[in-house]
Amino acid sequence: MRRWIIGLIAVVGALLALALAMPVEVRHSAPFGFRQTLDRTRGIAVDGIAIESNYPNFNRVDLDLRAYTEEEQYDLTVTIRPVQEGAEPIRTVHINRPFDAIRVEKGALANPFTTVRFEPIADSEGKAYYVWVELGPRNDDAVVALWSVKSYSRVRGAEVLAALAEGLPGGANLPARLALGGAMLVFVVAAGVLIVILGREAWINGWSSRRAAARAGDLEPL
Amino acid sequence: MMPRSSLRASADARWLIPLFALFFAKQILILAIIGPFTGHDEVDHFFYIARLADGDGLGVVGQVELPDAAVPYQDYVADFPYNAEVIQPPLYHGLLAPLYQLVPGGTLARLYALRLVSVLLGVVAVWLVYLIARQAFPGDSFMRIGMPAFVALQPQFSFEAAIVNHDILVIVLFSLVGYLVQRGIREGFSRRASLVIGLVIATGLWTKVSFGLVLPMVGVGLLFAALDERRRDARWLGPIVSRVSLTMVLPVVLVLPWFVRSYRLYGDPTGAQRLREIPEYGEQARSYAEMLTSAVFWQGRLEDFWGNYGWRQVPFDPAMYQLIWMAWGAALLGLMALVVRSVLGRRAGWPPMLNHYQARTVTLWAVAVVSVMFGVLYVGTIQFTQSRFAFPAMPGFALLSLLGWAVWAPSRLRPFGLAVMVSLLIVMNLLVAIRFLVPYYYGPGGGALLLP
Repeated sequence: MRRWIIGLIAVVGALLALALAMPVEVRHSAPFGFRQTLDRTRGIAVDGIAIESNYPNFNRVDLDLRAYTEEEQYDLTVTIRPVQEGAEPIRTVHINRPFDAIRVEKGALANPFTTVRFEPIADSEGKAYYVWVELGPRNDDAVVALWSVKSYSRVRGAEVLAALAEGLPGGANLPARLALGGAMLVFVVAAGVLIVILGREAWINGWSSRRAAARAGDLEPL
Repeated sequence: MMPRSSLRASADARWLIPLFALFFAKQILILAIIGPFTGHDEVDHFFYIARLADGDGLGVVGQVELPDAAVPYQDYVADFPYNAEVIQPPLYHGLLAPLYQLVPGGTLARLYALRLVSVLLGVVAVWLVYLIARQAFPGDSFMRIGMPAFVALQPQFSFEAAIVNHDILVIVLFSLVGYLVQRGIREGFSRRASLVIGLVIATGLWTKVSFGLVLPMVGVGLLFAALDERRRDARWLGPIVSRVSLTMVLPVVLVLPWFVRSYRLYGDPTGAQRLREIPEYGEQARSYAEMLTSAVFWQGRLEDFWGNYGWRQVPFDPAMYQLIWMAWGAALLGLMALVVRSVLGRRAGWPPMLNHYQARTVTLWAVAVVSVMFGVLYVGTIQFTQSRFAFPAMPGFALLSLLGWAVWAPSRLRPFGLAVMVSLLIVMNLLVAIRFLVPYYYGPGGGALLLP
């Protein structure tokens, strides 16, 4: 019984830590998850676009880069500046990618994005930033377009859940917050109980192959 | 003395209670997180219910306009300003019309009350998956626990069970038919059992015309029963005719008034031709060959199955999809290994991995999966298509996935595999909510860019 309770506390604690305390990269609000620069109807794509950050600590962009000309390596400079008249760039990152990583044709099931991380911009919530890409001198004749951009902030889960509690439809009144908090608590505790029960079953039934063979039921191993 | 099934259920209560508590709490959270009317076709379904509640009748596609209250959500309507869902049979909408009238308050209060019904239907669906798993694999905890856990933690099933849409009722009824047919294979299809199956199918057809995709599964179940009876009894033909009449002909007869209405209004019994004529629908239609041979098409369907919440606005990230595809790839290879092993084992006299009844159950659900996948492709010939049209066979997807994974694990490791799978699915649900879903709608700097 004591072990069971210790296990439950450990699992619930781990889930709570994951949900509340551990920093995660949250994707900024954007239709389909990204900002698209590609205009398929006109067949054009440009090399930059404005993104909106709805969380603080904007720290990452995922760039869907497409190289139309084959060169061995591409030197790329990613620049970020606030969307304000006369604003100076606040982050500049130099990256280097081989042709295969950014070639225009992407295979099915491939990840088309190149991830670029930078020092978080602390006060980014509610602000727009212009993100653009430039080619280095050795790729002067190359043609590379930026089809779309996803942007992220590194925040704790608690900040995300606080934003949910504040923005609930119908107003962030006390009953709504209590109901939300109650549902979160039930979710985490129930998940903890379920994992502990299954873990215990696995320990008891799975450890000894002889006992397991007797209890394996209808489905025998291949 | 308690019957065996009751004993099993009471023993299972220790994990069923936390599983259902987890599912219900998760659904309440998703219901709250998803922005108003941003579920797929939620605007149309909600105002179809409102229309019936207000006594405005069924209406005709292309003539029924959405009310002013829907205007702020027009980006979430397929054929604005028209309500395209009035082409669907009205059972789901008619059943919810009284609740719509009873709920005090405005549109939002009614929307969330109707969403709550979907949550309850989701609970019923997960319970049916448990019954299906228990019936086929009573002694195997990997399948018996894993199947309902898989469905309860499948992100897009959860989404269906938290928005206003008749698809969740279709999933419940499809699962119920599957359960009854499975039982029929084991216990026989009495007249009463056949009649019940027929009435459930008729209910499904009055919910959504595509429910007819359940019929191949029923046909295979009846075929299995007929093969057994032919061995036992010389007078096997009469009962078969009776069963086919009750399970397959009766429902079509019962839904005939709707088919006739659609034929008179749109020129075909399902109304599909009318949908084809809607420009934004028809332009996205593809031929079967185009879809079947397109890797991009299948990538999209795999993404839809797991991610792409509401109108594809909230996808997962590619890395998460790739992990899921690897897991499903392993399941597919496992199923192929199972088939090869069964064929070779029969010749070599090896003991079968599945007993006779289990093999038939797997066949039954494999037919259901193929049937609904045909439905996905068929819709693709009319308009843009989505994996959610395959969700009625969700118990089949769960069964085949779990079976495919079980093949790779020695029996003593399966309990560990189950604990790991459930833990990973719980973590995936947490990460999806925190990383993608909540930030899409909410943030200290705003969210839900398409919302009014």
